[in-house]
Amino acid sequence: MRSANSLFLSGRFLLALFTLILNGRLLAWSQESALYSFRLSGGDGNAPLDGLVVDQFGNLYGTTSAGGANFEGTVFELSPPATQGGHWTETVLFSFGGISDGAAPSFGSLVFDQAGNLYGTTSVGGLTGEGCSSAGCGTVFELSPPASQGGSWTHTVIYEFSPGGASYPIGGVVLDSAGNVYGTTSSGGTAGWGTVFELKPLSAAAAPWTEQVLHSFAGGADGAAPQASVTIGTKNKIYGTTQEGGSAGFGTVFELIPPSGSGGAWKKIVLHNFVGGKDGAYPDGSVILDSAGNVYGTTVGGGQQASGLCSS
Amino acid sequence: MPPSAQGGPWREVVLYAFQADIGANPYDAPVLDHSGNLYGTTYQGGSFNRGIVFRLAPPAESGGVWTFTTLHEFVGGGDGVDEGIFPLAGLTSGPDGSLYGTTWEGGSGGCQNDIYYGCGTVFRIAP
Repeated sequence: MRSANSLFLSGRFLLALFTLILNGRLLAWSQESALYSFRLSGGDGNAPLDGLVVDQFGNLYGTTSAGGANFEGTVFELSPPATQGGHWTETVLFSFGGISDGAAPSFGSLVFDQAGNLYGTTSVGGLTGEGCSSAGCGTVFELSPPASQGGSWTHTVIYEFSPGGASYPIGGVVLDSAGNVYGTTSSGGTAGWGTVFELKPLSAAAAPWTEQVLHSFAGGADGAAPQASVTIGTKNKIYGTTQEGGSAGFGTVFELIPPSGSGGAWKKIVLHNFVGGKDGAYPDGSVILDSAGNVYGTTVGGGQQASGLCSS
Repeated sequence: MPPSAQGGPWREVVLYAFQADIGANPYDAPVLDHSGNLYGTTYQGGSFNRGIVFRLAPPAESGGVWTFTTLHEFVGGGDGVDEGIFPLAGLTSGPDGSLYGTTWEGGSGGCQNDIYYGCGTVFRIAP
């Protein structure tokens, strides 16, 4: 009994040590710091849904889905302290106006172009009409930095989604090396189940951007309701997820292959149909690619106890 | 995983299946570092069911098991507490090697609904 007991004790000790080591590993990476709390008052943004983009100086940029001067959401900048241990400084760069110029920027992250302009989407705002709610069909916007330090950033709606077309872009956009803008809309398109779109800048500075729908999701096996932006891979292939649809109705991972000749149609392939359970269900985010061409992402549902997974 | 031969089927590998007490509902894509580690957030789950930051380290050998580590469990705390809760978005890696993210509730900013405090936060996880 005694030896069994001491074995039990040493086992407990080992377990404690193991836990300690694990905790040590956890502590080594658990220096979480709350850098900024959004405020209810003073025209500050509230409730950020999107991630951050960082510039070379360590300034963070993001959006809030609510708050701001017009309670329609904001774009903000958070600048690191001048001295270590100081406070980070938040500046609201732009407050959205609603129907006039966009509202409620949602998921995804802002992106920089090579000239330092920021691009993003507002899930609603802009044009209204049949097929879009009274809140608007959504916009793609550009925010240009001030010409001199301390000046205002300039907000430009580069595309307003319109009733009967693609609508409700909730995932932000990405840029290719030529400055073309790509994203998804969660609704609209020929079947109403969302789209993948491309916006091309025209050469003249004041000319409008032109939209091309690269794929309209048909629902069912083709996929439906993309919630996130897309990712551009090698040979300009585009990767993304649809939250719904697919052969089992639990969402898909898709690939869009550009046409070989100008004016041809993009070819869409479903790379994976989620089947629920341990396989995962309802991917809500975009995907990332590694150098070997593997695709990684998460699902909100599925896994064990309906809690999502990472898959490649 | 892409097909080994052109035109072949892609293969899905489940790297990790979350459980509510560890982390639940990862809404956004993870980020990848130079060593092949994946870092991400879950909206809910963890000890306080208010979301976590996690790392998934690749196996030493192809086909092995990925190693899951909880880097932070969000707890929040109520009015006047800076820490956030419920990270919806994924993480961004900064020039200093830290990971940055947002939480859509929590923090000391004064918003309050029926249960939770805060208007959301920006946070950093330092290595």
